[in-house]
Amino acid sequence: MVVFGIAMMIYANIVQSSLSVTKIRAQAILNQTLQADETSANSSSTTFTVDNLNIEQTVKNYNNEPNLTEIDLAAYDANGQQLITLHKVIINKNE
Amino acid sequence: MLKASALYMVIIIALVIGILCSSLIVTAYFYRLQYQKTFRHEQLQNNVASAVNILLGGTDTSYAAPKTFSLFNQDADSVSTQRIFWGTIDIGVAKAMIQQDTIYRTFAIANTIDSSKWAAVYLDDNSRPLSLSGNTSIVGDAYLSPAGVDQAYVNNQAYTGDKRLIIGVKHNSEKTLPPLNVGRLQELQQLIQQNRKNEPGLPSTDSLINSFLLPTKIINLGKSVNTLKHIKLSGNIILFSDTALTLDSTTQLNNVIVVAQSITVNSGFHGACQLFAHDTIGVQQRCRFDYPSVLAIMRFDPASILKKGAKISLYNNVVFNGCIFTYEQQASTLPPLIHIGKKVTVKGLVYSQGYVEFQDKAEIDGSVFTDRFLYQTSFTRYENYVVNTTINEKLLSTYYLTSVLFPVTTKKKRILQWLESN
Repeated sequence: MVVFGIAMMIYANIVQSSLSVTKIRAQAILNQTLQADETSANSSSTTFTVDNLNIEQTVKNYNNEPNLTEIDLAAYDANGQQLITLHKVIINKNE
Repeated sequence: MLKASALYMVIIIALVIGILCSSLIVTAYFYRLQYQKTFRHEQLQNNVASAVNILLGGTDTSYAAPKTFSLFNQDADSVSTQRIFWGTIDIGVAKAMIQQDTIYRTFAIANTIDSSKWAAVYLDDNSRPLSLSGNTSIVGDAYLSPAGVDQAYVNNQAYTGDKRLIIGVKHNSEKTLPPLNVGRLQELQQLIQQNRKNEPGLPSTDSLINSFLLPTKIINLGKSVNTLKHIKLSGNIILFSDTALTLDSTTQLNNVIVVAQSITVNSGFHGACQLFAHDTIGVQQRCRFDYPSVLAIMRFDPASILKKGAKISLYNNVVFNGCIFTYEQQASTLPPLIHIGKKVTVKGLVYSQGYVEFQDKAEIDGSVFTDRFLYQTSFTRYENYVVNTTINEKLLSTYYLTSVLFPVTTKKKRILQWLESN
């Protein structure tokens, strides 16, 4: 029983920390979204769904710098669990 | 009844299965390690790009020591930024660090052009018209005195160019040139007049490359007349000479700054450098300067201004990419002269507080700001005459960036050139 319990713990740990295709896909989607934001002149905070992933985009001023914008992106799965986050400072297109 | 060899068989099969399982685990481990490395690398790339954007778009334009900070006040987002004064331009140094990994970028920063002020020609209002003769072409807006522009017959040549004379919009110019940026001039003055007495001379090696991640390497050639030969200098290096300095064609200069009393560049030289002289700069035939190069005469000492006229000469067939300018803190009786020889091509900006003289088939792909034009023959000297010359603002790249020193720039900073990265 003890051995079985330890085995299950190890199994759960490995499954939780192992790579998932969803996580890799989420990362690719966030990178793509970030690229689009960098070329767009009017990015705004929004939430949208891509391939059953909820993407939360927050756009805010960076450090009170008038020409800089901080973009925070987070991807959530169907259970609302955060898979990955991405942050970047970009120059305002309207600078 | 089992055979006695069955035990061996089981052991061997177990061993094979064990090896297979171990190799699967090791493969998974390395795959995961590689993924983590790639993920960390992507994160570093994002962070260093953010640091680059902070250097370009931030309001802090001071030249301080490297500043290390957390980008988003989270884990694994430390970056370091530094701005280095580098003559007419700035150098940005951005680093991102996660654990033992560091990614860095060094790059040259310059400003975008203000299209509302940019012109092919800005000629001070000296109450005389600009006279064009021979096969002269001026394409782009022009700021001229209200006397305007005329055709002229010079040296047995009539004007044979476009009937419009100026292919662009004509504006009235002011009595003086739009001034150079005062803050930048002060920084250039500090650079030129900095104390270098205790700095070492030229190294005995045939090449010296200094990264912008390291402190600036200053070389002081002192008061002995020098010719630089068979040497390569690249990167974060400033070369000072208190007298005449000659750059031989065997010298390779890449992004370095040279400050001397007078500078001669021998025929066939090829490089990218910023040359600042006090008296004269002479560029012999067939030299090639890559973008972003600078030729400048700068005079901050009022007593020395009166002694000798400043002159920058580009002799025949030189190709120059960058900026050529003269600056005198006080106007002298002998105005500075920029001489553009036969078949010389300048891609960029020419700014003279005195004269700009063209010889036949000179071409400026960019802009000329001057007090007066000059055309000289063996016998006669014509002021405000341009003969057999092309000035075409439209031939300049739409991505052209220039120094904040000049009066035609916006506050927008962009990457002029990537210098170093890993």
